[in-house]
Amino acid sequence: MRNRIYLLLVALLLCSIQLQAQTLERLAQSNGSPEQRVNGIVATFSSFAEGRATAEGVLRFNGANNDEQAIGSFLVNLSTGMYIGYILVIERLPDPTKLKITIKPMPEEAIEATRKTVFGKLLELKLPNRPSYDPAPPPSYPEPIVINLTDVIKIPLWVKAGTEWGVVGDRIRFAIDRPKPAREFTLNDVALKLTDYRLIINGEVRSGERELDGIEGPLPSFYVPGKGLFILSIRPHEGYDFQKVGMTEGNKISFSYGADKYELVSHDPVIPFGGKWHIWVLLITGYQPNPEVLEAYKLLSKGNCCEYFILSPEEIPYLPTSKK
Amino acid sequence: MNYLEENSPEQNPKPADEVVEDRELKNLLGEWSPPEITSSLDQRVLTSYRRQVLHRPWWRRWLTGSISLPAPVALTAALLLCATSYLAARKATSYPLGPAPTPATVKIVEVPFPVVQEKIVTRFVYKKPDTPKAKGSPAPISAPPRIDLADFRPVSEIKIIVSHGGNDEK
Repeated sequence: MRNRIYLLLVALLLCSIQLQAQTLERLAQSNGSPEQRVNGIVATFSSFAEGRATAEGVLRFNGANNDEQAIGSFLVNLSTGMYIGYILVIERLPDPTKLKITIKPMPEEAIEATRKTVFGKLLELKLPNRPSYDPAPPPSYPEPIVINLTDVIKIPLWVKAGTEWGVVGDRIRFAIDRPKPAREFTLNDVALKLTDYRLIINGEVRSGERELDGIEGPLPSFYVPGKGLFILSIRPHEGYDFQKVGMTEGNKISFSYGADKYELVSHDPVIPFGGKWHIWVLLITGYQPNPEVLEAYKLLSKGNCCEYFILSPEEIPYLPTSKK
Repeated sequence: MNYLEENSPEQNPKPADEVVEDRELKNLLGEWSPPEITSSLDQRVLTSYRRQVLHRPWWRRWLTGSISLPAPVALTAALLLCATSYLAARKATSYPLGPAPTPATVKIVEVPFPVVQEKIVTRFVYKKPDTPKAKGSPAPISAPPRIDLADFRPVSEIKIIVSHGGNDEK
């Protein structure tokens, strides 16, 4: 179970790097998802800066793992490329107004996995010639503490000593998570999952020399230079020219578009509950990829041709697509 | 103006023929009536006087001016002046002749100058962010300087700072 948290974080990083020509700077502005939910608690993250410091130059990612009642937090210093991470464990106590808070070091697997993400490669591209991009884990961690639910905690993570003293870190607020109301299950809730996958076009592996880590969501997508952006879905979307040209079965998605045949081969089943299903494909020829992301993918797997990411149905209107 | 009295025969006795002429002159003068004095005469006289006297340069008035002093006062002042001059001259001659005074010796004292030594900050002090500020004096709004984080390093020790109800407190 322990490795799930870093897989989740990595998936989050991959999703965050995705579309809309995002760069590290733009990611820093969005600052990741502020709310994370574990164990019936909503932890809201924000950055704080004190002294001669600003949190603008820090990129923060958070990912929750409900199995371990833990939230992973990565803070990246975009000026140096160094990043620091920790695991925040939140435990409920018999007294409902109290929480037990523990800070743990980020698992080594998560650090290793992060280095092998598009995010890690973007850092390499942005800040070349660095001896190491691995985070420097702090050697000392505090003992677990019990706090009130209404308390706010701050965790200093970046510091500058001397006359121009400054500190940047995480500020975290807590609240009881409101139970979500039940809703109707829809096909949007079916996620297509690709883990350790390859892209094959007309029988030729185009995703490079190594398998790509993984993406999971309702609309897995990939951009092929010279062709455009292919968006895959298990259902059609009203108003958009999705074509029923493919299918998924087992660990593979395959479809034909024009004269070309495309295959995505995953290590695990694409749909967990199995079956053989139609796949609808929308091609957006006007999509302009981010050259940096494309270059980062080439660093990730030598010989890789393309860019991969997950879309949500809400993002389709923002793409340069013509409605049907 | 009594011109007749100034030339009266009692003050200046004259010969007989001159006395006769004086009698004729006296008769003539008795028949003569002086012209009426115009009202502007006084004004013209005063103006003329002021032009000659008051408009003289101050230094000229100071050099040519005089003051009247009663004789006893002047005598007393003269005596006082002589007495004080004598005493002053006597005291001046009574100073003994000696070597010239030596200049004051200068003593050099070393004062240690405080040297500021740079310190490495190893402890964080956090101020309360929600402290109410004084009303009526809004803080000047200035854009915070954009600071590069190139010199920032990961902390050597992760700490948790708990703020109870929003108030910072370790």
